Formats: sequence, structure tokens, C-alpha cells
Amino acid sequence: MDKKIELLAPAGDLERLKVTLLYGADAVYLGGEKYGLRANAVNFSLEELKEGCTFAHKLGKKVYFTLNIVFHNNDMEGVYNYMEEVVKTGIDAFIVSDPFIISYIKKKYPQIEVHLSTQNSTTNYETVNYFKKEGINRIVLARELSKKEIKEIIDKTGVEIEIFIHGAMCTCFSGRCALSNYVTNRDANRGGCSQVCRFNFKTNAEDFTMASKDLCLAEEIKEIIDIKVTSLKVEGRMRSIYYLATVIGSYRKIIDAYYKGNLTEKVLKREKDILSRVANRETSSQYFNHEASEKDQYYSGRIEISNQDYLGQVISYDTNKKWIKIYERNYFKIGDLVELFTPNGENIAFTVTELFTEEEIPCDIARHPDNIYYIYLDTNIEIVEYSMLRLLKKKTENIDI
Amino acid sequence: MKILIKPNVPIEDYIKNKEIDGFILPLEGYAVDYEKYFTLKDVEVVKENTTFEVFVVINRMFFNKDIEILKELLLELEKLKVTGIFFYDLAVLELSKTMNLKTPLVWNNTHMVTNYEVCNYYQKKGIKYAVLSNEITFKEAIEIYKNTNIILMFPLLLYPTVANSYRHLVTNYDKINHHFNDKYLEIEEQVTKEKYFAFENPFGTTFKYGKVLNNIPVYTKLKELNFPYVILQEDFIEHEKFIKILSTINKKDSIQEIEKLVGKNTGFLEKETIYKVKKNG
Repeated sequence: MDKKIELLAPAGDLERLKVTLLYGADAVYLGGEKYGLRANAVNFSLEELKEGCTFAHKLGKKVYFTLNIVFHNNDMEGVYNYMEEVVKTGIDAFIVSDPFIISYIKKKYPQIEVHLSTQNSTTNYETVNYFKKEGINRIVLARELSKKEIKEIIDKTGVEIEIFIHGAMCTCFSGRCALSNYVTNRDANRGGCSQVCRFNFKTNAEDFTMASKDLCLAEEIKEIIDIKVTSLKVEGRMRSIYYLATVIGSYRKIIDAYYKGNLTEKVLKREKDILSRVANRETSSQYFNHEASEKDQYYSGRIEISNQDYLGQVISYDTNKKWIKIYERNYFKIGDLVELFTPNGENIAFTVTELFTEEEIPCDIARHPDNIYYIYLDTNIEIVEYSMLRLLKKKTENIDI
Repeated sequence: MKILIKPNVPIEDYIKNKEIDGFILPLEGYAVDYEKYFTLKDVEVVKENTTFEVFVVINRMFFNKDIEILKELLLELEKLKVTGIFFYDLAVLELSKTMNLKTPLVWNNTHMVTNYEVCNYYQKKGIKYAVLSNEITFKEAIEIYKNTNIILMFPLLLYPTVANSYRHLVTNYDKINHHFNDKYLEIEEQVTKEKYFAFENPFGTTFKYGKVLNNIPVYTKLKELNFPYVILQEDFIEHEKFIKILSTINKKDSIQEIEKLVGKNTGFLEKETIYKVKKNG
């Protein structure tokens, strides 16, 4: 039987690393304080990186380190020493973009895998063949490819292939865009991308954007596994832990259901509904099923929806009082239909019947974000660290729970 | 130092021009980011009738379905004995090696030719030339030149390419704004009020900056350093103006004269980009 497909999550910091791995990611990708393409994420110090690798490896999972800037002369100063320190933390792979660094890693650290970043926009099997000969272990393909093209590349090269399945899309070819450099003087290929393709422009006195809708390939997971993709990558190193827990948790369930032979329409619909509730833009399958068209992007104004479903993070559960203690993030009240979900994949939908402040005073409304509240819930399910609470909105909504 | 131009009119107009040493000819169906393209027949005619260096450009992204026609093209170019092939997609390098082709290659990776280590890497892979990115400083360009043996080309005067997309952004915009009916989509960024323009070919959309990149102020310095090549592109510049630029380039007052024609935007020549805007924490 083929190896189970990998679910690869973004980890902008140590907490996100833990959350995504606990919610079912098989590996995480992350950046250090230098040389990664998300220079403005919190990123990892060497100490945090070591802690993250230890955490991941205890769970039998992996850590991939992004070293994928396109270097300028000055950036090269100290990079080899930095890599030495990074290797000591226990990472499993480097994700690189600038090819001069590939042979250095292969020679100096043969135990470490090298993955080619999507920044190189690899679009065909001959380019994959080139990097295969260079010793690349895995290639993150360009997001502009169709299912047929991805399959042909896998069939013709045998190289491990990683594709993006969820999250924000670039409007232009990755690496072939310097909009950020010109408009904001922030270097897109060195981690400074200011997402100018989402900026508001004017043309003929009208608003104009060229922003892409987000990618969602939840419905295509079965086909992607069938064509023997190695790894499924989720975008979003700077996303919230709620978003990451939800997205990773949903894809975990879809993948596991597929391998267990019970990926029914009902399961898929439920997970797609959950994914749509954390999305802040419309989604499409982008290039996977068709050439991207006017329907895959926005043309007038920046359209983003804020999401208030995340009610809070569960801190603990008092089995005697039957109280869950939560760190509140968004307003909710008695009578609301909510759902508690855990890293173990458990979902408990219930109506809030009793609510207490941190001082254990009964109240009707949790109206103060960042405060502690207690909610009554009688359950035998183990409520572990990083369990979360979300709103299922009104009972009249057609939500399959 | 040699001057290469990317012409926008029939080559015959330049045959007697003594300022230039060669042509850069983007091939129709294989190149992107240009206003005017050329056919293999055009290249053949130039090769037969001039002694100029002739480089062709095949800088688009290639997909699986393109590989066989790309192989055929590379064989045709081998027969034509062009001076070199500007390319972006590494499929060109891979095919050149596996097909044992001898035509020199020009690494033309747009925004990624930014350090000497990568230039040295590609030189070791058999690539003869590289075109420096528009987005590096003059200091960086010179440092690369001093630390690599790959033959470098410096972008001297052109409308800089800002981005390339596989999406048909102009056509798509036209579909939702039926009153719009132009080949070029001019857009203005709302904070800086800077203008850009987008245009398409069958392989997607190119964004250009609305001002000419005029690096003529460092032309003399490049000559003194014996820099191998500089590039000027006629695209989107009026022909008469471009001819005037070429006739002025080696004259005493060239900087002022050319500034009068195309302005004084030197892009990133003296302006470093940043990429970190806040501290960790």
C-alpha cells in the first residue's frame, strides 16, 4: 500500500506549531529569524525551533525549515553558520529557493532533506528532472497547475510532489512578481511581500483590484491522493490558531475518512461547511480543475469578511463541577448553540445553559474578550489542551452537526 | 562594452546603426513581457543579412504540453546559430543538456538574478550569460560582476517588468466591465499615485511600471569597468525617441539629454529594498 499522504501545516510560532500538530498535521513548515519568505511573521528563535522539533518528533512528526529567500549579496553573510545552528535543532528538511544552496546542503548535511520552494514556480516535468538531478528530495509545484499536469509530472519523474490545497493565492507566478518591491519598496522575494495584488487601484476612475479568491481543494482530496501527490500544504503562517486548528482538523478528517473508506458526501459536506466558516474570502479550486477565470478573482475593492465564530480557547475542564474554563475571544450568551472541538477530532455541539464569570458569578453574556468564563457542560469526552469553542450561530441555520 | 537592443520595429531600421552590437528578439509564442515579438523567419533574415549578435528570448513558463514544441524550437535555434537564448524556465537548461545542444544560454530569471553565488552556480551548469535583475542596487550589480565569471548583462534603459501572471487579467476585467475595451489596462496605486500598466499575450498578463527605468547615469562607469553588455528596450518607447537615445548615448551630455526624453527614474539603482518592517516579538 502506498504511504499515507502528508498533511503539512504552517507554523508561524511555537504555539501554532503545537496546535497544528495536535490537530492532525503530519509536519509543519516554519521560518527562522532570517532567510524565510515571511520576514514579518513572528518566526522561530533557535531555542524555539529546538523545542518545536522535540515536540514534533515526540509525536512522530516532522519540521521543515524555510530558507527560501532569493538572496542578495549581503544576505549571504552568515547564512552558512546560521544553517549549522538550524541543523543542530533537529529539523527534517530545508525548503529552499535559491539553487546555489542545494548542493551545499546535500554535501554538508546529507541527513537533511531539501525541498524546492513554490517560489521557483515549477510548472513542468523537465524542470522537475533538472532539480531531481541536483538532488532535490521534494518539489512544491507552482499553484498554476491542473490535476492532469500534476499527475503527469509525478508519473514521469517519480519525485515527491507537494501541492498547496488551501489558503490565499498569489495573483502572479510566485517569484515572478515584484509588485511589492515597486509599490512599497518591500522585497517580495526576500520575505517582505506586502500583498500589493490585494491593494486598491484605480483605472478609468473605477476601483480595481486583481486579488485572487482563496484556494480550497477539500472536494478534490480523493483525486489528489489517487494521483500520488506526497504532501498537501496549507497556506497561512500568519493565520490565527483558531483558523489553523479548524482547517487542519477538517483536512485531517477528510484524509482519514478517505483511507478508512468512509469519505461520504455527508462527511465532506460537513467539513466543507466548517472550512467555509473560517474563510475570510470566497474560495475556488483555482487551476486544479480549470483555467483560472474572472470567477476566481475580485476586480473591485478588497473583499474580506471578518469572522466572529471563534468564541475562545478551552483552558481546562472541571470534571466535578462539569465546567469548562475558557479564555474568551468573541461575544456569546446563554441560549447560543456552540460547538466544542478538540485536537483528538471530537466535536461536542451543545446549547449554553449556564455561564459564569472568572469570579464564578452567574451571568447571561460573555461580553469581554480576553476574560475567563466558565460554561456548564456535562460530557465524558476528554477535553485536552488546545480544545476550542466556536459558535454555530442560530438554531434555525441548516447546520449538520 | 556591448550594447544590445530589443527593437520594436523591423530590424532593417537598425542595420546601419553604429551604436549597437546586437539584437534581442523575443520569439512569438515563446516569450512574454514584451510589446512586439519576432518569428523564427525574422531571426533567420537578421542572421543572414547582418553581422550583429542575435539573441532570442523564450522566457515564458513552459507546461508539460509545451515540452515537445520546445524541443523542436531548440533544435531550430541550434541550426540558426543564434548568439544566445534568453530563458526563464529551467526546462530550457535541462533540455539543452539532455539534447546536447551547443547554443549558449542566457539566464534571464527577471527578479531572481540578485547575487553572485547563484550566478556562479549557473555558470558551473554551463550557462554563459546572465541578465541582472532590475531590483538590485548598482553597488550590488558591481559586486556581482566582480565575483562571477558568468557574462553579465545590465538593464540600462527600459520599461521594467513588475510582475507576470498566468491569469488573463485584462480580458477578465473586460468581461465584467463591458465598457472597457483597451489592449492596455492602466492602473494607479492609491497611496503613491504611481501608475502601472498591464497587457496580455496568450500566456497571461504582464505588469510594467509606468516610468522608464533610465540607468544612463551609470553608463560611463559601466564602460570604465569594462562591463560586458548593457540592454536597452524599445518597447512602449516611441521609435524616434529611441533612435535619439541611441544616437545620444555616447555623447558628452547624454545624461541630461536622455533624461529630457524619458525622465530620471533610476529605480532601485541607489535604493535598497527592505523586507522586515517590524521587530520580532
